[in-house]
Order: sequence, then structure tokens, then C-alpha cells
Amino acid sequence: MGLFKKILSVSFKEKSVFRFDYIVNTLYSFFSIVLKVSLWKGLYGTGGGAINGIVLNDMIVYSILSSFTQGITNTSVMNDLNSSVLDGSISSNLLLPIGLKKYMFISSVTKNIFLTVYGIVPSVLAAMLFFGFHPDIRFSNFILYLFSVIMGILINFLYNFLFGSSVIWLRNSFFLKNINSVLLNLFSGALVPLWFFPQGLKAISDFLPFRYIVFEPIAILLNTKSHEETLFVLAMQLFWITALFCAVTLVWHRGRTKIMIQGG
Amino acid sequence: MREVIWYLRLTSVFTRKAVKAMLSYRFSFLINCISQALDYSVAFLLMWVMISAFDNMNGWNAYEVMLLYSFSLFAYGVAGTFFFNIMNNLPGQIWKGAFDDVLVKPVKVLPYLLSSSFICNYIAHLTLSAIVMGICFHALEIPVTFWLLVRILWIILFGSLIYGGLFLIVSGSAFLVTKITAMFNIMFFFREVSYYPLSIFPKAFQLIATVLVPYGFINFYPLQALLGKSDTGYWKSMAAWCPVVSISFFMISCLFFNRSARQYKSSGS
Amino acid sequence: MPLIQVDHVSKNYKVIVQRPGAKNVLKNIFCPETKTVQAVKNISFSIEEGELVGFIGENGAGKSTTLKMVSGILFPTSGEITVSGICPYLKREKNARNIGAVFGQRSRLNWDLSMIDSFELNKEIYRIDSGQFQKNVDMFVEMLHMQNFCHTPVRQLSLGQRMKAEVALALLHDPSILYLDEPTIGLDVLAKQQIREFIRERNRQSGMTTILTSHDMKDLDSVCKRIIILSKGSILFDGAIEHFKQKYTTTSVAEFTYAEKNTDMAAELPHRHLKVIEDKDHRLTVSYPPSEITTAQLVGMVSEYYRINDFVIKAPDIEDMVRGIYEREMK
Repeated sequence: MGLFKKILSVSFKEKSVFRFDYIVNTLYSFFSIVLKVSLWKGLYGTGGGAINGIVLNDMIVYSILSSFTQGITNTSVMNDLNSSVLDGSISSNLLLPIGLKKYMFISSVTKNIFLTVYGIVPSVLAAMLFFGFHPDIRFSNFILYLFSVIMGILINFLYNFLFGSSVIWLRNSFFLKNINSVLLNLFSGALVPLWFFPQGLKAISDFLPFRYIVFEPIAILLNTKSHEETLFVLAMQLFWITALFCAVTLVWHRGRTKIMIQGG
Repeated sequence: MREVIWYLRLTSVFTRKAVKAMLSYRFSFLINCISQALDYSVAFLLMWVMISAFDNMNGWNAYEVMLLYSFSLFAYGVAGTFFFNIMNNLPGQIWKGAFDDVLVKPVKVLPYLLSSSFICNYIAHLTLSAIVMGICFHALEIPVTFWLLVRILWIILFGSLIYGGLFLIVSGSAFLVTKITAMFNIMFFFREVSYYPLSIFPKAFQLIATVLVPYGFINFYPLQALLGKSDTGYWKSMAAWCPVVSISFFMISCLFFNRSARQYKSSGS
Repeated sequence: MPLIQVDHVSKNYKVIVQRPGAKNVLKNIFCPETKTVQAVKNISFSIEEGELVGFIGENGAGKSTTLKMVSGILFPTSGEITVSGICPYLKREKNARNIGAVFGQRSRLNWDLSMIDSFELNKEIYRIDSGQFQKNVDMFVEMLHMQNFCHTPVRQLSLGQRMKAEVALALLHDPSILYLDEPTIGLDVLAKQQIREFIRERNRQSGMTTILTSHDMKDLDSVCKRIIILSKGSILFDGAIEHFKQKYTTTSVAEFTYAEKNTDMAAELPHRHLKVIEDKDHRLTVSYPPSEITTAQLVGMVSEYYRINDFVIKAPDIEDMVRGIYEREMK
């Protein structure tokens, strides 16, 4: 908890140093929502009909919620791992009296909480005022959403940590970073909710962890799922967390040896 | 004129050296190209899937919107070949003080940076967007004639100049603020806007993209004319203004860059 | 007219001050507080052609800022600078043809290419003609013993090898002035020596004026004839290194070896400024102020107590002297 506080206060300090940066980034995340909503408006046209049972208002709500959910589940761990392995500072991280995974998780989550509260929440509120926000949300769904988002954060972190570790062997993570962002953008539902996916893509997404990061938590919040379906989603999230955690442990068992032999 | 030839010569020397340096990273270069191609292919695919599901986007069908995207991407690739490295390296150079090493050389700052920053990392962008253009023209049953090719090159030339100007503005701001990620984000945000018909965005956006940062002239207005669309109300027949807008925007950007560089000299690091 | 003329030059920087505390975050973002820092305060000096001048000063004393203004990178806030008859920051390009510069620890060599490749790039940038270029490369490679690593990618070179290449790179176009900022930090003794020798040699051969800053007093002692000491943006001392030594040497140390002792000198000192540091194994070490006691007087005094075989007077360390000056400044 002390570490958490420390990182948070450092983040605040760092941010206010680059004040111009902060203002523009907040505007940027607001305009990203405007962009998404404009695209949906363009697609729906003026007719106001439903496509796949989804109406324009649903998509406005979804766009706003997905900005928030994507922001809070985001992680920079792949970049952090990449730079610390390549410049050798990973060795000193390994000397900390706290596990590397735990350390990186806390620092990634804290940075994100900061970025979300400071940059995304204002823009999400602005978008709600600008476009009108009329969701159909129940309290029980909101609680389930919170659970689901926390698991989404864990899934995205572990996934990025797992594939980010490849830099130890490959020394170049650009390719993986790029592939990862493609997969995440496509299958997480951050850009297009899975409702609109053709059968083939939907089938693929069933076997990947990405939909459980952004799309499924929002789907739960918007009350589009039965009790059984909701339980299934939460179970799947738990499954992915366990699977990824085991994989990370296994990979790091080898990675640590490799780093120690090479001296970082 | 002799100066220009001298800087061109310098560019060729720098580029030869850069290619030589890159040979030790052949593998990652190839991998990067492939992953970029993959990245944009997925984006094109997603665009096609979505617009086909809805039939059209404010009157533009899937192939027409993809055409917008591919023109923007192509112009971006051309501009990036010349300007991306300046934007990418300058903040670090200023931060570490390495920009001082440029200032102790007997060269003009901007032409020197241009000469030393030429890269051929945009093969994937250029190839992919050219292929998509071909597919779209075919699907839209527009015959690819000599005149069409000339018109395409004409559009891309001025589009690239606008992108070049944007790169310069973002780079130049590195002299004034500590971090340029914000400017960088704005630029890439508008790049994304330029992938879609400008007419779907709020009026304020349309105004900004026409007057302030002329993204509309990169692809939207010229393609509107090419495809015979009229979906923007009072912003009609803007295509003819492309050359004027893009050349003056580029010149203003150069001016901004040089002014900022001068500012650096008086404030220091 | 001196080669470099610096006239009442000052340089101010604006620095953003962070107000501490979480409640000030928004305030820091929207209306940051700035304060002006005077890096260089009204300094004047002039340097003649062919001089070897060293700048000494603690971190933040204004050495680098001064060097940057003289080389045309920064504008001074007030005052005037002339280098070979032109203003370096207004006619930056013209001035740049005349100067070579090695600033700090960052490399101007391309890491993925060999040092010769970077030389060739500079040949284009400085428009050096092929004959002169080849002649200089051959000569520098010889003088700095760089034959073994000419064609190795720079990233595989040691720090010393890289620094030699950096210095050679800065001199390819035969500049009439060379600016060196901390050229020998972290280098091994041999590389340091070779670089110092190289600079002295170039100065002898072509009359190249050199200004260097360094923390290593040996650099200054072996390369420079004149030093300028800066502290907090002002000049504390400007003059010949010999003069500096005379003026600021407060104590010298002499070491005697003797055959036998008549009386113990430590018990009854013959002069109130003379101090015995150590006296054992037929070896006596004393310290004394040269301004009060001459060498002849010293030997005379000591010989009354001891039968002297031999003695050495140790040259005072510049580093100690500079530290002395700073300590005096602080008070």
C-alpha cells in the first residue's frame, strides 16, 4: 500500500510538470469518444432503425463506456518490460524485495488509475453531457461489472506481461507489440462491439482472452446477458487469469535464469 | 539552387550510410514491415465488415470509404519517408542536448535534418494502400486510365505536403514544450478522422479540418470531387483549392519550425 | 584584436518551480510559477589565437553555458561576443565552419557504422576536399593509434576508443578553434594521455586555439597554459596556470631524508609557520607557506636539527588549490 501511494504521488508530480501535455491528452480522449460516436451516427444514418437488435443510443452508451473500460484496463507493462530489459535496469528490479510481477502490476495499475481519473473521467463526463447518456443500468449489474472489470485488468496485465517477456529472448518486441495492439483492438470490443462481428470472427474471439477485457464487462453492465451467461463470463475470466498466471510463472522461471546469466 | 543540390547530395550520402547501418538489423526491419502491413490490413478488413453490415456511411459505401483511408495512408507514408525521423528523434536530441551538435555544424537546421532523416520504413504503408486503391477502383467500376493515375498522383502530392507540414509542426513544438506526445496524439487523432468521410463529424470538426489543420484537403475534398459526392453542404467544390492550401500550409509549418528552433537558441535547455 | 572576445556577457534561464502538495497540482498545471536563474553573470575575457585555455568550475558554475554561447548555440541575454571578427550566434553557420566541438559524453558517431563512415559524413557536411580529408584521416589515425578499430562498428568500441574518434571527428575540417567539454571523463590513463598529447600536437602544428572544460586537473595542467575559474556564473580567476599556482599556493610540502637527528624538531619549531607532518624512518615531512619561507631558509633551518642527505619539494596539487578557493568563496 505504501508503494501504491508513492507511485501515485510521483505520477501526480510527473503529470503536472508537463501541463500542456495533460490538457491536450484529456481533450484527446474526449475527441476519441466524439470520433467513435460520429462513426456510429454516420453508419446508422438518420433512419433510426435497429441493426442486429442494436439502436444508435445503445452504441453511444457503449462508446462512452468502452472508453472508460479500455482506459482502466489498459497497461503499459509490455513497454516497461521492453525498455527495462533492453537497457538492463531489469536486473535492479530483480533485486527489489518485492516480486517483479507484483511490482510491475502495482506500478501499472497505479499509473492507470491516475491516467483514468485525471484524463479519462473528465472526458467521459463531458461526452455524457455532450451526447446525452441514457443507459439502462441496474445496481446489481454495476456490482458485477466492477468484478468483471477487475478481472479484465488482471487478464490484460498478465497477457501483456507474458508476451512482453519475450523481449528477453527476442531482443525486439516491436512485432509483438504491434500484433498485440491489433488483436486487442479487434477482439476486445474497444472499437467495434462483438455484436456486429460476422460469424467467423466471433468464433475466433471465443478462443481468445481479449473479449473478456472490454466487451464482456460492458455487456454485463448493459444488462444484455442472462444470469447463466453472466456466470459463464465470470468463470471464463477466472479461467483465463489462472491459465495466464501459470504461463507467466513458467516463463519467468526460465526468464529469470536467462537474465541472471546474461547479466541483463 | 546550388544549396539545394548540395543538400540533395548530402541526403544521398546520409541515406547510403543509413542503409549500410540498417543491414545489421535486416531481420527486424522485415518483421516491422510485415507487422505494419498486418496492422493496416486488419483495419481495412474491419472497415469493410462494418460498413458492409450497415450498407453505407453517410452515403459513402465500403469501397469509397476504404479509398479515403488508402489515400490518407499513402500520403502519410510519403511524408513519413522524409519527416518521420525528424519528429521521432528531435525531442530526444533536445532533451539530451544532442541538438547542440547540429547547431555547431555549418548547415541550415531544417535542410540538414531533412537530409539526415530520410528513411525507407514505409514500404508496407505504400504497397498496401496502393493495393487497396486498386481493389476499390475495380469494385467501384472506375477504369484506371492514364488521366486517373495523373489525378491520383496530383492528390497524393498535395496530401503528402500537408502531412509533411503536420510532421514539422509536431517536431517544431519539441523546441517549446518538454514532451510532444500530446501534439503527436492530436496529429494521429486527425489522421484517424481523415480515414472517414468528413461529413459524418460535428460541424466544428469539419471547420477545424478545413481551415485550421487542413486534413480535409489530404483526401476528403479531392476524392469527393473524384467520386462525384456532395455531402458537405456549404463546403462544396473545395478540391480546386488543394494546391494553394497545401503549399501555404507547408510553408507556414516550415516558418513555425524555424521560429521554434530560434526560440531554443535564446532559451537554452 | 583577440580571436575570441567576450564582453560583459550574462545568461538567464527561466525555470518552472513546482509547488509541493496535492492541492497545488491544478495550480501547477494551469499557472506554473517560474523563476529566473542567472547561469552566467556579466563575464568578460578574451582569448588570443593559439592559446590553450582551461575552464574550471563546479557543476552549474556556467562553464557549459559560456562554451555554448561562444560556439554559437545559445544567445546571451546581454553582452557581446565576437569570434574571429564575427558574432557566433548571429552568424552561426559561418562561425561553425571555423570551429570543432566535442560536447560532453554523448556521441556524434553513428553507433551502427564504423568511425570512418562517420568521418565520411562529416567530409560532406563540412565540404572538406578529398585530398585534405585523406591526409587528415591518415594523420589522426596514426597520432591517436586508431589503426585497429577504424572499421569496427562504433557500438563495439571501448569508451576510450570512442572518445579518440570523437576528438578526431571534430578536427577533420581543420578548425581554427576547438571546444572540448569534459573530453576525458571516465577514460583510462593511456587514452587520456593520448588525447592530451594529440591536442597539444595539433596546437603546435597548426596553431589551433583550444578551450576545454574538465574536472580532471591533470588535463588542465598538462594541456593548458591559462585557466579561467568560474563559480556561480562569475569569473574568480583568469590567468596563466603558473601565476595561479604562485598566487594560490598556500602551503608546500617538503620531504627530507636524513642520516641522523641532532634534536627533535617537532618539540621546538624554529618558525611559527613551519609544521612537521611526519618524522620517522629517517624521513621528515614538513609543510610550509612558500610566501613566508623560501626554500633556502627552509633547508637552512632543517639542517640545524638534522644531517640532511637529500630533499624533495612536492609541487602543490591544483585540485587542492581550487578546492581552497571554493571553500574561501563559500565563507
